[in-house]
Amino acid sequence: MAGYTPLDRNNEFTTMAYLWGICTMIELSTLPATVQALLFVGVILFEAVFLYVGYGAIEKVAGPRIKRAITRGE
Amino acid sequence: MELFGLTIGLLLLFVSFGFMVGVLFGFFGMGGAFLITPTLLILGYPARVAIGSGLAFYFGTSVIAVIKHYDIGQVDYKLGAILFVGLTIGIEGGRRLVFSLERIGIAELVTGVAYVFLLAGIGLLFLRRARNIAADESDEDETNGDDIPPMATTLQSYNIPPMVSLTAGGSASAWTISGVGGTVGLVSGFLGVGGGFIRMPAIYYLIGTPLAVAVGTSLFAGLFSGAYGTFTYGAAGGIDLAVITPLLVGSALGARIGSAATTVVNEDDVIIYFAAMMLLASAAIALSELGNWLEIEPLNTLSVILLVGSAFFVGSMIIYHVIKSMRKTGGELQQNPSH
Repeated sequence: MAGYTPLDRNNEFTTMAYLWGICTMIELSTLPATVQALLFVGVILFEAVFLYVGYGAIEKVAGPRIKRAITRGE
Repeated sequence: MELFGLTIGLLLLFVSFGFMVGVLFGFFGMGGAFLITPTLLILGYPARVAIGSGLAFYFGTSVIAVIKHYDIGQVDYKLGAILFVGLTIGIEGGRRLVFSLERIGIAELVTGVAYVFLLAGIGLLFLRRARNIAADESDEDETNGDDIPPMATTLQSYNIPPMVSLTAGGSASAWTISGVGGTVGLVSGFLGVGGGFIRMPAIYYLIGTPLAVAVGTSLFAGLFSGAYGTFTYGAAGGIDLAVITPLLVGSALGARIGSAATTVVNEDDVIIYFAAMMLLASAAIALSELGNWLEIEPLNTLSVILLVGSAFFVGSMIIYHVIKSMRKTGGELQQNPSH
């Protein structure tokens, strides 16, 4: 991990239309450190809520099929 | 080929490892950051990034836990707020300690050694629990959740002002509360763990709230301390979103399976594997430290295989038990009599 710089990677990450677009167009390294840090908190909060809701919806739709697939393999 | 600055192999490793950690800790009711941080250390991430990302991972998982229990059980908000102040000071102290050690070039070594003892300690505790179960020492009726532990009663008898009245009755010194918060925060900020495994027992045993209030207040204070940990490490360049995101993607799914598994899988059946996994994880970090010291690269590879492999094995055991139970009941999740 020589020369490792997480901020460079985060910047690359965000410019690639970061996940659901929340950080698109934001150049992280140009922002003050505290703003970057607040953005990290916001992004992780958003990710967690998104994942919880998203997996909940997937479970509702695909849950019964997965159950059938498991019990069919008996 | 790289995606988000990670090779596809590493990205898949993070998603699948996050999934298994989610299964494990959804099942055992813990955050799981204390497996994430050492794994990142072994993979060669600098201590501050491993610790900061571990804390951010913990923050993400605690957000999910709070949404899941959106009423957060029973929360003593005044106690939670004072705890949070202590936690914040402790986390900041822990972070400064990590950065000081980093300046003298021993941050990875010190945190690695601390993890060897922490994971071995947790492993031994679970091993003792497994042995007690095997010896049929039922812990039922030993503790009533509404009882105040004797240690807390003694601590509460010392009236060191200012005293804080607790929602569930009684009072505790603000110094005891902030002391608990500060100590847990220091561990949290230094090792990149949520600290729920010490925070909740500390609230119960040292401050003396009923068990349900201790769980709810611990979750409440943990959420905000996770956010603060993310913030303070984020401001110091210690957060790597490219690592946290795939871990959370896997973990959020795994935690669903893990918590659903609690209704069908008896914890007693897998607790011994969990204890073994913690001891193996401790040995893996020791091997990695040895590998770094002797400059033997294969020891590092072996330690990654040992740590990640043991988590995969125990997670797979839980999934196997779930599938077996579902097949037996024709797809219905049958309530485990022990839960």
